[in-house]
Amino acid sequence: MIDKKSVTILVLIILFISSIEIVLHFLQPFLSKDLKHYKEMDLVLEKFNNCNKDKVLFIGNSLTREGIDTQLFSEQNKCIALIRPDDTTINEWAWIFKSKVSGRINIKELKIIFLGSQLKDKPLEVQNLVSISNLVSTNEIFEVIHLEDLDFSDSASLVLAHWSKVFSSRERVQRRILALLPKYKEQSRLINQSLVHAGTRTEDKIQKNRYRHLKMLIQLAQEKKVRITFIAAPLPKPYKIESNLLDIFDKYSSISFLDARKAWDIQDKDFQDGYHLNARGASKFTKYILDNDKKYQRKINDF
Amino acid sequence: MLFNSYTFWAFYLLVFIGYWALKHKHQNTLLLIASYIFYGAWDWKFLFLILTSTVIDYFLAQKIDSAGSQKNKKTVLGLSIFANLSILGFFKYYNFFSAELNDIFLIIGIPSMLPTLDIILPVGISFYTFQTMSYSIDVYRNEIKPTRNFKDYALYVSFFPQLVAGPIERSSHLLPQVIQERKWEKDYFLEGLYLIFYGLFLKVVIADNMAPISNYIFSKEATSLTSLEVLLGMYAFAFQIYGDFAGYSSIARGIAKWLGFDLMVNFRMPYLANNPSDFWKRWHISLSSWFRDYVYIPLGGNRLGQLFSHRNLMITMFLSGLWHGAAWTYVLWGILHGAYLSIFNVFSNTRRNKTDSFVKVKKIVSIFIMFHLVCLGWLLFRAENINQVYEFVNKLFLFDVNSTVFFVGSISIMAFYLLPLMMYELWMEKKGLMAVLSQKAWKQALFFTYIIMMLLFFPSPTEHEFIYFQF
Repeated sequence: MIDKKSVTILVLIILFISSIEIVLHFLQPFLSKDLKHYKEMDLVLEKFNNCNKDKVLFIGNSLTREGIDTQLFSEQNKCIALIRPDDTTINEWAWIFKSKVSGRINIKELKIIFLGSQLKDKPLEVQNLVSISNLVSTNEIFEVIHLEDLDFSDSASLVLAHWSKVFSSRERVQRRILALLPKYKEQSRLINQSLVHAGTRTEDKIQKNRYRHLKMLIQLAQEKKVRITFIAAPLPKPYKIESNLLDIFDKYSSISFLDARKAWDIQDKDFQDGYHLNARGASKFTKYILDNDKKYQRKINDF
Repeated sequence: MLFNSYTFWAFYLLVFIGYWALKHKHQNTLLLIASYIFYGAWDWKFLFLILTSTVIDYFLAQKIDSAGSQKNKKTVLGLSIFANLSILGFFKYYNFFSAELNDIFLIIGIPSMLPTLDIILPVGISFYTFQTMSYSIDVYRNEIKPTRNFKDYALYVSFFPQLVAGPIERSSHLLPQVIQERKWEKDYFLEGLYLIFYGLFLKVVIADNMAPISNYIFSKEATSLTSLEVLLGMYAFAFQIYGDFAGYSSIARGIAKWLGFDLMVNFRMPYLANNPSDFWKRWHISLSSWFRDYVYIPLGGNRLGQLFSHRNLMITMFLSGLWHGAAWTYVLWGILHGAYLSIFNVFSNTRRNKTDSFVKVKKIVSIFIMFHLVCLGWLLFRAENINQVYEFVNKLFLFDVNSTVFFVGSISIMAFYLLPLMMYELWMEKKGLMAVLSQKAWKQALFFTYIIMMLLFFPSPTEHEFIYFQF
């Protein structure tokens, strides 16, 4: 059916693509700090698990990365690990806990720093599938397809992202190359803003009153006797927390909620941009969390 | 089921495997079932419509053939055209004309009489209606014999690779391929692979990456834009619509090729056209040749003198505009192109001998001017309404050439995606459409790898449907 020349061309194409795949296999951690973080996640957790002191695990995103001063935890004689892949929310956090932590890491305490609707389920886009594919093992792929109720296209994207470095690095490669173009970042920011205003961005598609992943995470943590503290991150501008979410926090005894939206002493100058704390802000925020922990401990002791 | 979705390719893989395992008679049955599944995937209710259109022309074409006198033949043909245009008119144009008539009634003091209906435009209706009409007209003209096999005819109408966005095939070209046994030729694999990947590249990399730029510009008030940004929006849309439509046609040809069918070339580097007539020999060739053969020439073409030739061009292009959609912007787009063609016809008759270098320079200048004339047309095509066209044209001629951040960012993105495309098209213009397939194996492999890598690394962050589905 296929002539000799076509076979030669096909073989060459496969060779070329395989070469790119191999190159990316080694280059991927250098494409972004985030990809490096995914790659090192198991090692970080293993090291954390071997620590004999009190352990505090954070799962989150860049708000956690920029918001926590790990040194302050060390000074309190605690071991700390930050698992904080960029642009992730509860969908990915639940899978991190299920795949990487639950049953593998011996912890009593988990902290999750969140913002606005980040604890609410979101419709998965290709980039989220790529993140999840980086988190789960091959055996768990079908579980993800089943639990996330993925359609054929999304399932194919998940499988491809899990097996192919070319596929899973595509967004990073694209960003790296396009960032070389003059004013690309500024232009795409303008387009993104117009999409948000037009109501076509994912943020606007977030379904109402769906907390499936959050409940999955809480139940898994309960089974493993892990206490979770959800921390509402401070922001320069005020934001709302849905009453449905507060109801969930009230419902489970194994979780606590720390409302740090207006954490004491954190001011506008403590932020590096509209979302992320700078070093001074991180120090204040971490102290706030540690103080709260002490209060909680005192309460337990008194009780 | 979009060509750029995994679902389509899973569907196609099943069809492909089953198809080549079957004998010719069963192949056609499988293709017919697959075509109806493909079309029904949009909305199963549309299946009744395509079936109705198929049944009408199948029987009326036979009536045309068996009608004794020319007058009877003409009557049956008239009935066929009336039936087809009634279906198309109702689904595509009813609301447009009822709204316009109601406005006129209101102006002369009569209350609204025609209700506005909640009609969903069936996908691809304009394409398959024109295909069935061409069949009846060709039978009337004795150019083909009507088929007596309903299944073959139904497959000719609904053949899934070209069903929803063309190319609009002629019965004399496609029907014999349906009826005759198809064989796999050794060149088919690479030709199909090339057409599919190049089509996907045009759609996913070119069209979808131009869409955010043109959408951004066309979502803004003219007052908040500079002249350069308006121009940029027109350029971006020019390549969005080209990548989108030429991409679809190319994929359609590729997947048909792998099933042993040869569909007509629908696009041939249209932005390298150096005059309006040349442009319509390169852009949506299946539609422009349809209008030429079934409207322009029957109206008299250029046989009745220059004045009638202009009239015929304007009528043809007016109808071509209306074919694209029920809106005045499309109609004006058609009229504008009619005017381009008429003016070109007047001036193209005055030829002078010039040196080679002058001819070369003239050609480059002509391509540049023609591209901008086409872009002006795209402004009408893309605009939300006539008012926006007016404001954008006004802005354009204010020559406000401030270079904004959006302009610089967008022009660099456009250069990144479009320069390699245009260089490749210039090369194809010289060497031929499929010239890449006559290169050495390693060069071809590099070409395919580049296309695949661009598809993997540079899809647009937001997916966009094929534009021509709405027509």
